[in-house]
Amino acid sequence: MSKKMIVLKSSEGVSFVVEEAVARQSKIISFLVEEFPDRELPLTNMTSEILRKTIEYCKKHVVEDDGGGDSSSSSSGDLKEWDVKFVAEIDQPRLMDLLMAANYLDIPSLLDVTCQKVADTIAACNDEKEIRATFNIENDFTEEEVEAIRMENQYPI
Amino acid sequence: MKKRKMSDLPRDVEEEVLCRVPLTSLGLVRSTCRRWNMLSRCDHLFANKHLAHLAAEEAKKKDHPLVVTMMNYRVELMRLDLSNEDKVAVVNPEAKLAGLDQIDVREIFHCDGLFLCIPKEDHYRLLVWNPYWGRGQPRWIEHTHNHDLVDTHLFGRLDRYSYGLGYDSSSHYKILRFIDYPPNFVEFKIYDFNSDSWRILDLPPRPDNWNIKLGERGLSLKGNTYWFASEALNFDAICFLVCFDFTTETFSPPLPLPFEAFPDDTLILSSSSSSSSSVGGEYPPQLVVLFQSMDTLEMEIWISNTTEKPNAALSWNSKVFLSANIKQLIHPHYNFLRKSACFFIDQEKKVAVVFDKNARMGAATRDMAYIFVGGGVDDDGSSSFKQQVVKESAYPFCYSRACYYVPSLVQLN
Repeated sequence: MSKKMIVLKSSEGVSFVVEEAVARQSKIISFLVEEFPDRELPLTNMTSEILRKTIEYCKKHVVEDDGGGDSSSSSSGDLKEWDVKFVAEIDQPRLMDLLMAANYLDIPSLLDVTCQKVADTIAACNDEKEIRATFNIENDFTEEEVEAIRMENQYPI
Repeated sequence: MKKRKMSDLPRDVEEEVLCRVPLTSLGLVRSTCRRWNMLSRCDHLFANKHLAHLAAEEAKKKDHPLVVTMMNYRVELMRLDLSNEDKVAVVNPEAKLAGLDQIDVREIFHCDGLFLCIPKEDHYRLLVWNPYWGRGQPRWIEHTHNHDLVDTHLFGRLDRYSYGLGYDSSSHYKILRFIDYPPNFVEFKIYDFNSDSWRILDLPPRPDNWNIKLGERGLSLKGNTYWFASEALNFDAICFLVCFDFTTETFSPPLPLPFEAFPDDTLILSSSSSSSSSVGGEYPPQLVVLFQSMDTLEMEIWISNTTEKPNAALSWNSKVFLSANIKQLIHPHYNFLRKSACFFIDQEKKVAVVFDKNARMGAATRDMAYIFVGGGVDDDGSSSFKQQVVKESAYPFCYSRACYYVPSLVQLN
């Protein structure tokens, strides 16, 4: 039995042909596939690069339910390890894009690992200046607040 | 490529990120920008989510409990490694704690995420504080002394009061503060956070004529506080436990210990797990007691069966959890001191860690962790022992303290 394939199109207009079971991990795609069968699904706010990454993640996490047993369904320990490696290899800006993609496509497990990775990145920063620089955050405290914060700053909690 | 800003994230996604930040980075998050500061300080929905993530993380590493320690009058957060693997340090500094940085603290008590700190120099105020909320939240509580009685009976020493921290069945926090020095000086007072006031507690007569000796340190468990007690003015009397119920504001009848101990022996209280209210009922906390006989210097650690009601009869595991010969292991004359030792156990790993000074009285130079593994009655009999220097001790008479820390969202205002 041949598997049903669907076509996802990135913002650059590049088409990706994906097994439906893989793509359906996204709740949004799952919904769209049912609403618009046999149509290309344009994902206008996702670059090819991010879409490729997202598909890579979904391929790894797809649960084969055809009972064949010959699929490479990984144990949960292996999968966790794979996830850690997967997000470790992504640089900061792309990680944020991937996080946005996980949120937009509604893929809860990918949202979880990307959020965790961003949280770990925050935790790895040495001070608040590094956090602001890494995540492009404006310092919007007033002078007095900065002073109060400075008093507090050296303390973790 | 345009660099994505954190502020491009939808609010709920930003929260998903921030609630995964470890406890020790919370201060950093708060000082990054106003939005994060407000979110993590003022938004209870967010705080609940954050706490749930922290609890899930902690549940994954049960043998690595967080403890708050007071050494050299300074309070900090440490993490124990009770995994019993070779070559790992058992006690590891985790973080300093905002809010207590400028204050020398003589004693700390913990009850479900809330700390009661007794300042070293300031004898007229207590500090109550939830580390989760950071520096903005400590509350100072003023109190008074009965100077005439303190001068007459306690050589004017204002540091002899005992304290208990707990809450009643409506989760209202209270502090019990007392001197139980019959026949001349018996004073029990209760502070109620709701009314922000102290009142005298009139205890009914105690049929067994017991008292809680000066310098005893209570342990709070599920909102109530336990102390060792024995017959007043009798130093050959057998010791037992009493429990103060913060709902009824009464003491339990004597709760027997699983061994015969006398006021001169070492008795120290702990609880079996750090997981209390926030992690759910998987491992209900049990009382654990360390006993070291003054005669033999043998140490025994016993675990109670689960305590359901504070006044219900306390029963004990029929077998000793761990025993060790301190004479051989540490020093022929070494005994843990009631007022300076604290301990933690891991039931699965059969580990006990006892914090105390390396020597008695003025000769103490270090705060040590003594680590005992095995040595119980029902294991294969193999046991091991090691020690770790936790801190050089600048003050030989600063009696260090350590207690489990479980973050909670308790607020005092």
